Amino acid sequence: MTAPGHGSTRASCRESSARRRIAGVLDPGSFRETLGPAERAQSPHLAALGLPAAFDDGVVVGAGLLGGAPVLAASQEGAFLGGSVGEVHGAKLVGLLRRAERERPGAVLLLLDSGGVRLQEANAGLVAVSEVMRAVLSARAAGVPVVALVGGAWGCFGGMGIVARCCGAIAMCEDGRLGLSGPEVIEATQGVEELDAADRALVWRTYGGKHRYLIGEADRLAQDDLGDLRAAAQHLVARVRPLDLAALEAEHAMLVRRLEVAGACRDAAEVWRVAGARDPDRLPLVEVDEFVASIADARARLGSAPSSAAPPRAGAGAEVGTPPTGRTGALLADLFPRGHEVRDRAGLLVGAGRGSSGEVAVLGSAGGAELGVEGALALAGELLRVVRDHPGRPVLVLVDSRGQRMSRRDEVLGLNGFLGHLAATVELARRRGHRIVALVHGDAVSGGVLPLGFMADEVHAVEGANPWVMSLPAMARVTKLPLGRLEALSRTSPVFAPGLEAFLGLGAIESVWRPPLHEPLAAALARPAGPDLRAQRGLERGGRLLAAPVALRVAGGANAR
Amino acid sequence: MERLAFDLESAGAPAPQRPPVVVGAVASGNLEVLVEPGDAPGRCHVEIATSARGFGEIWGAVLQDFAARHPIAGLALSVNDGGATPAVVALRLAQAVEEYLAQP
Amino acid sequence: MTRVWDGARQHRRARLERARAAGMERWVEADRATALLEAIVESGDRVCLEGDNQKQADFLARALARADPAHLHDLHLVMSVLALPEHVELFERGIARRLDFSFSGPQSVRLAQLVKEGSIEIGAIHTYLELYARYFVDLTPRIALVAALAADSEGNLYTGPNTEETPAIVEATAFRDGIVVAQVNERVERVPRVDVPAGWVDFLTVAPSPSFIEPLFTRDPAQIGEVQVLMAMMVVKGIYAEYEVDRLNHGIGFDSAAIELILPTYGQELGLKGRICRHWALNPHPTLIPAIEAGFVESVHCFGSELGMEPYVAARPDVFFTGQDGSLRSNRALCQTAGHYACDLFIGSTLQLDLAGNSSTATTSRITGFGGAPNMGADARGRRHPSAAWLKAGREAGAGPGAIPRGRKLVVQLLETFREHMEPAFVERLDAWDLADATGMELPPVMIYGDDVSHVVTEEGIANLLLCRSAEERAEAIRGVAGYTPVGRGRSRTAVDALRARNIVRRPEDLGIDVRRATRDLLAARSVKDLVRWSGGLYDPPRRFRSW
Repeated sequence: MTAPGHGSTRASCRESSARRRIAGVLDPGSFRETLGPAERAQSPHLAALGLPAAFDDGVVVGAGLLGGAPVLAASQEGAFLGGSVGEVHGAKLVGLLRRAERERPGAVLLLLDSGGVRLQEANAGLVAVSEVMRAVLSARAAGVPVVALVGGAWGCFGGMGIVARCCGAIAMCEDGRLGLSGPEVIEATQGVEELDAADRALVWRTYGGKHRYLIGEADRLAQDDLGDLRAAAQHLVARVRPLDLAALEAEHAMLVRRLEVAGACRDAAEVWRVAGARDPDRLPLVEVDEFVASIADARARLGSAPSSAAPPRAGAGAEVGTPPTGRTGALLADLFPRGHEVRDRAGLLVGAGRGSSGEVAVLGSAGGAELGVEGALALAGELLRVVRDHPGRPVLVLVDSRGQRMSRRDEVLGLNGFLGHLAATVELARRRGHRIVALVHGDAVSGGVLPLGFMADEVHAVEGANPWVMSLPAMARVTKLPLGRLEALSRTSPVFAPGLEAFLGLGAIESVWRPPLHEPLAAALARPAGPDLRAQRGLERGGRLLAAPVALRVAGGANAR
Repeated sequence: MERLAFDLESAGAPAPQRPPVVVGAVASGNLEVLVEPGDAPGRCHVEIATSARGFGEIWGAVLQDFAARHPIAGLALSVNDGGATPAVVALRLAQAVEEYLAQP
Repeated sequence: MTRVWDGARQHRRARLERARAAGMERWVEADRATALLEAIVESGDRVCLEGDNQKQADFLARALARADPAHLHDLHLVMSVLALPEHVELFERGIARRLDFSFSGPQSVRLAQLVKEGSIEIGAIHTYLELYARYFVDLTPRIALVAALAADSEGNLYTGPNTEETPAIVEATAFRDGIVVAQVNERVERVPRVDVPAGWVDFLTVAPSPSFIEPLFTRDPAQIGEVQVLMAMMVVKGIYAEYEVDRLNHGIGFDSAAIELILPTYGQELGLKGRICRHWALNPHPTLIPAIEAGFVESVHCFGSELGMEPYVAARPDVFFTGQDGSLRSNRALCQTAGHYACDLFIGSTLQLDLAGNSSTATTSRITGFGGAPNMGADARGRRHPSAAWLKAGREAGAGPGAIPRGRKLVVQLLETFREHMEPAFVERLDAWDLADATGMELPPVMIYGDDVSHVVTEEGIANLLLCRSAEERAEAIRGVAGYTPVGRGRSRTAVDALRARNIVRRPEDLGIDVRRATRDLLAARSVKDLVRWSGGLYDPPRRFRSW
C-alpha cells in the first residue's frame, strides 16, 4: 500500500534535472533542444578559475508543445553553479526570448532554478541578467505570454528573482523558493539575528511557495509534481498580465495595498496573521489545495483581488525631499543648465529638469542609496505618473546605488516583485514612446541598477562612476575561490574587474560623458530608441565575444538534432 | 583543473549512430557525461575535464574496465567532472551509454 | 577477627546520614544538587553518570562538575556515552580520573586530547551490553545519576519512550547498596507507568530544564545518493532475498536508511513482502515508516526512542513495544541481547576495512569507541535455535571435514570504496593500530572482526566471505569489491574471475540488477515531509529537519 501521492509514483520537480523538468512539463516527446550539449556552448571564463564548465552552460532551451500549442521553453540546471547566469547562459535565454518575439508562439515557459548572477563571471553575469530582463519584457510587450515556473531545489534568487517578476505570471511549487537576496546572503551581510539561514522553517516561510502565493507574488501554487506544474502552466498561459498602463497601475495598487496591510511585519507568519489567515500556525503543514482554499480571503486582503485596485496614490509626489547638494547637485546643474526641480528624498531622486528640447523627467538614486520596497514603489509610481500625465516626455535615470536593501522585512514583503514591477514600468514607458537614458554617476550594484538603470535604452556613465557586482573578499567567501586569484584576474579580465573600464568593454555601458553634460544628454535624447545593443557592443569591444553570437544562434532557431 | 584524454579499445559490434545523450550535472561529487558518435570505428575516444587533479591513473583504470564491459566502440565520450568518486563515475558512464543505446 | 559482611550497607547509611544532616532527604531542590552530591559521593567512588546514546542526565552532570575538586576528586566514571562538554569538564577539573565507556561521539576529539595530556585514564572501551554486564561483576557503580521524565511523590520513575539503559544501571546500583539519584523533568501525582520502582531510588530532583535528548537516528532522505540506492538494491536482492532475512538490525547510516526506504518499492516489486524484514531490533527510525505502513514490518523492539517519533509509535502498538499507558518502552540492554541472539543479520557501515575483513572507525585524532556494533555484528556462538538464514549461512561457511555443523549469523559490512576527498576505505593496515600505539591500548580497537564478517558490500558488488576457504581467498574476495583503491587495484583479474564463477564475488549484473534503476526515484520517501505524509501526520520531526 502506497500512501497517496508520494514516493516513486510522483515526478518531483525539486528532484528533477533541468532536462527532466522541461520534458515533464511539455507534451511528452515534443521538446526539441536548441544549442544542446553536443554543440558545447560552454562558458569561456570558468577555466581560468580552475572550474569545469557544463556543455550547455547550465540551461536547456528549445521548443515544444504544451497541450498541443507550440511554445518555447527554457530550464535552468540548479546543480551547476547554483543555476547561476553567466555570459553564455544568459545569451541562450535572450536568444530564446528574441525568437519568441519573432515567431509569436503560444507562450514562453521559463523553468527557473537559479541563484542569479554567476559570481564566477561577475560583470558579464550582471549584464546578462539585465539583458534577460529586457528580453522578457520586450517579448511581453509584443504580446507573447511569458510564464515563470519556480520549483527547483535551489530556488530563484538574485537577478533571476527579478526576472521571474518581469514575467506575465508565476507558478510556484510549494517547496520552491523565490526572492531577491537569499537567506545565506542576508545572514552573511546582516547577521544571524536578522535571518538564520539554518532555520529551514523560517526560510520557507519567507521565500517559499505558500507565502509567495499568499502575498500575491506567485499567481498559482502547485504540488511538487511535474504534472501539477504543467497544469498550472496551461492555466496561466491563458491569464498572463498584459504589459499596459491599466495592468501596471493595478499591480501598483496591489503593491501599495500590500505595504499598507503588511508593511509593519517582520516575519511571514505576522503577515498571515494581519491578513486574517485562519489558523496561521497550521498553514505550513497543510496540503496545497487546502491551503489555497483557506487563505483566499487573506490573499484578497493583501491586494491581489482585481476589485481591490485603487488608483495609485499621489503620495509619491507629495513627499518633498530636498534639493540635491554636493556631487549630485553639481551633476544636475551640469546636466540642466536651464534649471531643474529634482529633489533628493533620502537617496531617491525624483523630479524634472529643463532640457534643450523640453522637460526631462529625472528618476533614480544618489549617495549610494540602497533600494528597498518603499523606494522601488516610489520610483515606479513616479514613472507611472509621468507616463500618464506627460506622454512622450523623455526620462533620465541617474544611478548611484550600492544595491538592494538587504533585510528580512524587504524579502518577506517581496522586494524582487517591487523591482520587477519597476522594470516593467520602464518597459511600458519605452513602448509608449518615452526615451529612457541612464547615467551612472556613482556606484551601480545588482538590485540597485538592474530594475531601472540597466533597463534604459542606453546606459552611460560619468568619469568616476563605479559599477560592480560584489566585493572581492565577499566573492571569495561565497565562491570559495582564493582571494589572490580573484584579485589577479580582476587586474586583467573585464569580467571581474570592478569599475567603468570593464563595464565599457563588456558593452554594459555605452560611453563616458564628459562635461558639459547637457551636450551628450541632448544628443542621447535625440537618438531614437532601438533594440538592446549591449551584447553587440561587447562583441565589438572584445569584452564579451560569445553573448551576441550565441543569442543570435538561439534566436534563429538552430536545431540541435 | 586537469584535462585527460583516453583512446580505448572496446570489443563487440560498433555502437550505432544515434543523437547525442548527456546525463548528470557538473557539481561537487558529480559529473556530466556526453555520449555521441565518434570518429574511430573500432575505438572509443574519451575526453575529460576535471576539477580534481592527479587521478589520471584511476580514470584510466575505470575507463578500461568500463570499455571491457560495455560495447562502446565507435563512440566518443566527453566528461565534465566536479570531483566524483569512481563509484559515481562508473554509474554515470553506465547510465549515459545505456540511455544512448536505448534510443530508437 | 570477625569480618564485616555488610560494610557496604553501613557505608551507604553513613552517606545518607550526611545528606540528612545537611537537610536533604528524598526530594532535593535543584539548587542543592551539588551539595547533595558532595554529601553522598566520596573521592575515588565508581560513579555511573547516565550518558545514554540519546538521553543524558545533563543537569546532574553539571551539578557534579560544580563540585569542589579539593574535596571530591579522582572519581571512576562508568558510562555508556561521553557525549557532553560537561562530561569532559569533569576530567579537566580533576573531579573524575578514570573512565570505562562505550562510545564518545561528539567528544571523540577532546577525549583523544585528554588522553594525550594525561588528564584521563581509560580503563577500557566496551560495547554497550558488555559494559552493562560488568555493572554486575566488577564495575558495579557505587553511585548512579540517572534521568527520568517524571516521578511521583513516592519516587516511582517514569522513563517513558527513552527508557534506554536506566533499568540496568539502577538494578546494578540499588541491589549492591549503592545510591541512586534521579533528575526528573517533572513531579506528578501519578506516573503513566512505573519503569523504575520507588524502592530502588534514593534521591530525586526536578531539573530546571528537561533532560537533554538528541535525535541521533533520524536521516533526511534528501541526503541519500544514487550509489547508496544501488548498494541497497544489492543488499535487498543479493542478501535479504537470498537468505530470507526475517529478523535483523540495521546500524545507523544513510546506507541502511536507503535499504529501509526501498523495501516498499523494490522489495515489493521482488515479491518480498511478508518474506523478509518482519522483525527488527532497531530504534524507531523515521525512515522505517514507509516499510511499516506498507505492511513489511511486524515487530520492532527498540534500544531507545527517537525524538519526534513518539506519537507515531504510540499509534502503532501492534508493531512497537508499548506499555498499557500507550507510550514506547525501550530497553537497550534487552534490545542488544535481542540483536545478538534473536536476529539473523546485522548490517552496518564502517570507515575502514582491511584485507582480513576487520573494520574500524578509529582514526589517530579521535577516540570514538564502539557503541553497539561489536555486539550486533558478532556471530552469536551461544545461539542454538535454527532459522533458514542461520542454517544457510552456516552451510556456506562450511564446518570443515568431519566437524559438527553449525549455524552462522549474517554480519554485513556496507561501504563505498572511497570516502570524502577520495580517501580509500579499503586499507592494508587499519589506522586502529596507530591509535593503539599512540594511546597505549593493549589491542587495536576493532569494531567488527573479520572472522565475524559474512559479506562485504560496496558499489562494485558483494563479496561473500562465508564461501572463502582460506585467508588468501578472503583477501582476494575483498580486493574484488575494493574498486579502484590501491587495495582494489592490487587484485588479480584471473583470481577475481574465478571467485565470480563460485559466486564469492557478485557484481550488480550477476545479481540481475539494472544500474539505471539506481536512482532516488526508487526511494519510497525522498524528503522528511514525505515521511510525515507516510505517517499520516503522526511523525513530528524536530525543527532542524523541518522546512515548515
